Amino acid sequence: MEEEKETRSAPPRFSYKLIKIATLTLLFLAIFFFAGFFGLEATSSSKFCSSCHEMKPEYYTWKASTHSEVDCVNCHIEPGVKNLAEAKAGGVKELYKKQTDTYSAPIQMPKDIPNSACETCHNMKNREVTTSGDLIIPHDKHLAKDIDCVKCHSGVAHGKIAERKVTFKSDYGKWDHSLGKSMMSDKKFTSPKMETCMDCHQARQVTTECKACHTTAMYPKSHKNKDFKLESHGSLAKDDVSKCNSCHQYMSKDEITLFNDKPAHTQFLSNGKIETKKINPQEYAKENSYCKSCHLQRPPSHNKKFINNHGSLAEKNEDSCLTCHDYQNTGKNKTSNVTCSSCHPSSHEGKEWRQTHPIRLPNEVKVTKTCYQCHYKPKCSSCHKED
Amino acid sequence: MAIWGKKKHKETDPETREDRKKVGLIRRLWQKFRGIDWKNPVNRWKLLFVSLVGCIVIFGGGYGVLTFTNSPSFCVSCHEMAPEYSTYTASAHNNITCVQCHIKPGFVNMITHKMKSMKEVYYHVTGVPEQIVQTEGEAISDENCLQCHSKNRLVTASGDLKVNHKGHIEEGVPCISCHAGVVHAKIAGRGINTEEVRGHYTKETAEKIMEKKYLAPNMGTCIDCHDKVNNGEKPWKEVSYLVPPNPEEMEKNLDETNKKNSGEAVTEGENTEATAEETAAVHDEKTQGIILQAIGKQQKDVKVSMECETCHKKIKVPKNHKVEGWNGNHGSTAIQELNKCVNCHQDSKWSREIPKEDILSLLKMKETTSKEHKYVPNVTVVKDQSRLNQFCSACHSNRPAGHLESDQWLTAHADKAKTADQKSECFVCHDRDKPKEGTTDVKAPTDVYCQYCHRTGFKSDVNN
Repeated sequence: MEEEKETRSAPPRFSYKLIKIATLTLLFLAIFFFAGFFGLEATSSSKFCSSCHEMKPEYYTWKASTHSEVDCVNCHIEPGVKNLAEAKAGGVKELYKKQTDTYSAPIQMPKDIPNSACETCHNMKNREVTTSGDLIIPHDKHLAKDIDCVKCHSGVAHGKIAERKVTFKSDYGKWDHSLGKSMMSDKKFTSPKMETCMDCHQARQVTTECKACHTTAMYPKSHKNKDFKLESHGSLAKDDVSKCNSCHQYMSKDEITLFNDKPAHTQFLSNGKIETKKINPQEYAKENSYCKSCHLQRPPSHNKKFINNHGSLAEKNEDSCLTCHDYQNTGKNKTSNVTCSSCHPSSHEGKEWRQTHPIRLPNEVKVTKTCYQCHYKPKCSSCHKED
Repeated sequence: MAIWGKKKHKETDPETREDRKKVGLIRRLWQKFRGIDWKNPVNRWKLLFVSLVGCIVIFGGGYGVLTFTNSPSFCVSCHEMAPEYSTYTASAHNNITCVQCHIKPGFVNMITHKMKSMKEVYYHVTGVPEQIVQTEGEAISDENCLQCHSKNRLVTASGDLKVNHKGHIEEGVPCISCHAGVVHAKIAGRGINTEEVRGHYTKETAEKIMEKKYLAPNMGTCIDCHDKVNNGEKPWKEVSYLVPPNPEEMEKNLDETNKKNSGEAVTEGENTEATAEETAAVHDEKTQGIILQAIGKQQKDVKVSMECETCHKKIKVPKNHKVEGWNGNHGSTAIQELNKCVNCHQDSKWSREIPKEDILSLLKMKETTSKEHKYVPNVTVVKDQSRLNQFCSACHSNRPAGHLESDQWLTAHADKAKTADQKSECFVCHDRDKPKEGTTDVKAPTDVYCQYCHRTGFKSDVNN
């Protein structure tokens, strides 16, 4: 009996301490876990991300994007406890950088979104891919070659704002829903770019034929006309050669540099105005190897009697000659070495020879004796008569 | 322990001393609790400890139970969900959970749903319904879809379709009125999730029954709704229009009509047959009317155009249809390439109702006819098609222009039916012999058959 009594009721002091410590431990544990849980929840919300003004551009573009119902963390933190912990620790580091103002702007994404993040929703096995327009894109083939989703779909949530250089520190205040919407409204930045497809296909030596990706093969109506190949395509190119370029740039073996222009803002800063460069179709035809592949062949009009007839033909349409030939040898023309000046050495009528003349000349200057210090008199005087 | 003991004794002998003593045990506990000296700090700490443990158990347990019952693996733990679960895993939505669609977002909705679902447990024990069908209260709301499918999304309809989603949304047409089959491939409508076939559902089965025509919105749905809108209705306002037909209610309705008929007790057999035939005829006529609208005939002022081009980008009338007299001369083309005709002129595409299927034969068929069989030109097949297909019969039931007035045609038709080729033209609509009763042959669109007049037959059977 005595023994039993002793075990049943411990000395009150000891019991008091024990129960106190146990209760407090339990209380703190409970508070710790609850706080941890709700803390995690709270810091995982997109509202929390956007509470820092550095994230305004990203937040508002995302809100206007197709992924507006998917929280930031669903894409930007890989699934898994380890990744979550890493991301939260990284968040603390960012907080420190923000407070000390030592972060580098514009803010860049540290690493690409992994496929696993996309695939938590986009089931690549069961979903049928419905590409827009006339496109055919075998997603399974790309996936089998380990091409990441973001290689093509990088603009889907933020419209490539970092690339577009609109996320600078000074502009954070300007961001709101309407700006986000307008930044996302241009499909050029949200949907995959054809340049990306072409670059990758060329680098990997995969077909770059139109019909490989386009069901309609993109064949314009004008190209179906009978006279298109031999007659009319030149005059169509004259109207707007950039239209030709939009497709035919990809068919050239060499890069087309004619359209490489200085960006508008650089132009403006250097000379105060913005010019749109007019591209000469003749120049274009000499640069694009696709054009050249036909132009290199001798045209049927260039027959035996051509040497006698070409004058009148050239008078009618000098531009068509210039598609292959130059006035003078520039060393750049790979289509034809024959230039006008190979036979007509100094033909300069109606040309802006003054620009390249080593000595500046006034506009209304006539041939004088001074010219012959450099030029050969009999050649000049065959046309220019001295007064 | 005390409660348990008490009950047991009550059943056997309600008024024994033992019993009273036991009751007293609880009371004693209660009195002990009341007798606790609350001024003693040890006791207060004990109370705090106990209530803390209680809280953790209640909240932690509650959270655990909610998470557990929200997972699809919990849903499938009842065997009656096998068809739904296996189609879901084979669908494009298998990365989200059942409850993300089937419970409206919000904590209160979730708890209410859990409470309501208690009755499912009752059904599970007492007897599972023959077929599980979504009820009107369970229709998926747009709110659920919009949790993921942002309104900012650009809609890319597949193939040559143009579907004005914005217009539909503005009119308040719910997502499921078109996209009902996206997860479960309309198994309820097809009648392939009944009790006896639930055991057949495996991953492979599901993959076989996930046919595109059930996953994607079917054209019949578009047609039906557009037609109703043109008649001044807004069918999507009725929830019953959106969910699959309830088999129990249908049975009830059938019973009621049967009862009514038997109550009348006047040759009810013939009556029902006649009404069934009549309703079928009305239905046929309606379908034909819609088809004619689609191909640009019988136009009246309508709200939603029913023409093919309204929804299809690439539909074009084939060149050979544009030749003059195509209406009267398309027969030989039909014989040569009937398979091509039915690509467009298929009347099953025009109906919203889904035919009932049998999963066993469905699976067998999938195994045997994986290769498409090639069409071989065959006059009888074409003739039957022309009588069955409502595209064809829409015009074929009319008197041809060449038949003039009946008194003139009666004497004039002999010249037009001399050779076997010419006669075969007649036989598209007319039978030679009197149709036998109870045959399964396709009924001719006209009552007139050759032997109706030519009772003694023809001179030369070779030519016939």
